[in-house]
Amino acid sequence: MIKAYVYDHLTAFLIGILLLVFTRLIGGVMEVDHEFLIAVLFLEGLSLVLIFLYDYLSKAKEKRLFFKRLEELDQKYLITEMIPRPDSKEGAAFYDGLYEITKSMNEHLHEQEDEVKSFKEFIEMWIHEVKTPISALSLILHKEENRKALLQLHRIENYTNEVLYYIRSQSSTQDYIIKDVLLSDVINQVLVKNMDELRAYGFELDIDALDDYVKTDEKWLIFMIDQILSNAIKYRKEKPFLKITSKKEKGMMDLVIEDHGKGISKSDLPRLLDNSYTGKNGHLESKSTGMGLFIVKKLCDALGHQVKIESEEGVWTRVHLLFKKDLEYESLMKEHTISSD
Amino acid sequence: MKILIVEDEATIREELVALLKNHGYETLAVTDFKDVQSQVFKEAPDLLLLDIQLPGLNGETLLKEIRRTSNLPIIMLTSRDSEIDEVLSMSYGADDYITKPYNPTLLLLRIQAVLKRSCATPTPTYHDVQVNFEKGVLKRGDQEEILTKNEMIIFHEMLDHLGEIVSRDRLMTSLWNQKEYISDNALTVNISRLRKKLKDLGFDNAITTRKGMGYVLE
Repeated sequence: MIKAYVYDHLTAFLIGILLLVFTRLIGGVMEVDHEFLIAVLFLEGLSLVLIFLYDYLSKAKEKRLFFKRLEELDQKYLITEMIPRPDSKEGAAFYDGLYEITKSMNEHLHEQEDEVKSFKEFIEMWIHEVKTPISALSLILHKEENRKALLQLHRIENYTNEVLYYIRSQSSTQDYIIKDVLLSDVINQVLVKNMDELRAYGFELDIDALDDYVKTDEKWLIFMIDQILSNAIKYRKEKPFLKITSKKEKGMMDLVIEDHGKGISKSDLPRLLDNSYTGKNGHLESKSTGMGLFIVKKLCDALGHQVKIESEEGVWTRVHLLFKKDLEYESLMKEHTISSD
Repeated sequence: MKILIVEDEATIREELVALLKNHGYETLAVTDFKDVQSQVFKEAPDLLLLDIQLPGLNGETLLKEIRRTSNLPIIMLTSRDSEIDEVLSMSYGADDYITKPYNPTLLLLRIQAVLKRSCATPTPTYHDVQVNFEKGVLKRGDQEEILTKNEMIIFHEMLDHLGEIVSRDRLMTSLWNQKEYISDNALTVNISRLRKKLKDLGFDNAITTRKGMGYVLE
């Protein structure tokens, strides 16, 4: 800080030194008493030192406080709330400027937040609205037994759900309900929902008894498994095969959804759960939004589950959903409720 | 069986009416949403399909009101898929709920299941054969045939619609709905086995195939 001060005040220092030099020169020319000259030079020098010292120390206190508070703050833009308005005119002017800046930025931020919120609300409402015509169409097409159109309708429904759950995964409010959910019930709902497609493509199914309970939000889990199953259907090969098993491992429940499809290349695996990552398969098929697994990951994070994917390209893919032990889960939920209050 | 539909979306309402009539239910629909409650009591249906969002009133409130005085079986139709609605509906005493978009086959199965629960079913028989669903046994005199779970689900579905065409789709939905995820080929195999077992009981050609439509149990 001293270095910075000296750098900022180089001109002032030079003028001070010049003052001393000139005093000495004028004193020499005017043949002033030597001792008197030394006294004047000493007084001048002392004044200069005091002036700079006072200036430095008075500003240093304000500056130190400012940087200390700034470092402590999480949201730096709230800094003006955390420091007093400086007494010095210069400091006060800067403070006022900073106050204006952060105020305008905060207003802007609130506007953005409001916009995002109302946009989310609109999308949620829109999705519920669009479900009515989808339902009507589903009833009509079933009556006409138009299988092709029904498959397409099912895809539309999936894509709308993707948007809905993307928004939910981004939301900071928790609109999920944690209950004990029987795995076989959840899998049943997803399989019945996708029955038409699974039958149309001739999937062979090997489904475990899955008579274990996990603590989760049923709807969210249904959505997640639906996404995983959609991928298995999308990236199927000849003689498609789907296997769903569950096992207890180190107190965790591991739900494994395995398909014998195109698989995922080694290079794609690590980035599979990232935002908008489509990978090789996606590019080949050019119809993948790449959001599905990303949303699954986000929902898992929110619910305290884990998702892991392993695969051998061209042979199989296994998606693991891992559910925590009850105890750990309860303490996690407790933390969550406390921090959200 | 008389079913009353309370759903404000005209297209969905009409399609539901058509679907249920097609499957042999006497079906009525509320079109005037003023004082729905008294209309419900006036019609006295065997089952109520109730949309959760109605113009000018809340389906949940209506459900609560009806429950105060009646045990009428009610299936809630929901479009908002927020869990809260369903949890509330069930705690207010709905018998089941179905989320949009509806799969008609599944809807029919749910209706059938709720109606079965509410009505006292007589001991099921097929001609002079006693049917024991739990044990999976068909008994005629002292002759017994043991059916597998899959065969029993198929037989049950056909027995519920004796003399009517039951589509493969319906059989598959019923099987999958009961967590038996068999393939189309396996269904064909199961039906031939069932045919053989019925033949052993003395019912030759009990199940006939209607090409492209389904099967009929006579």
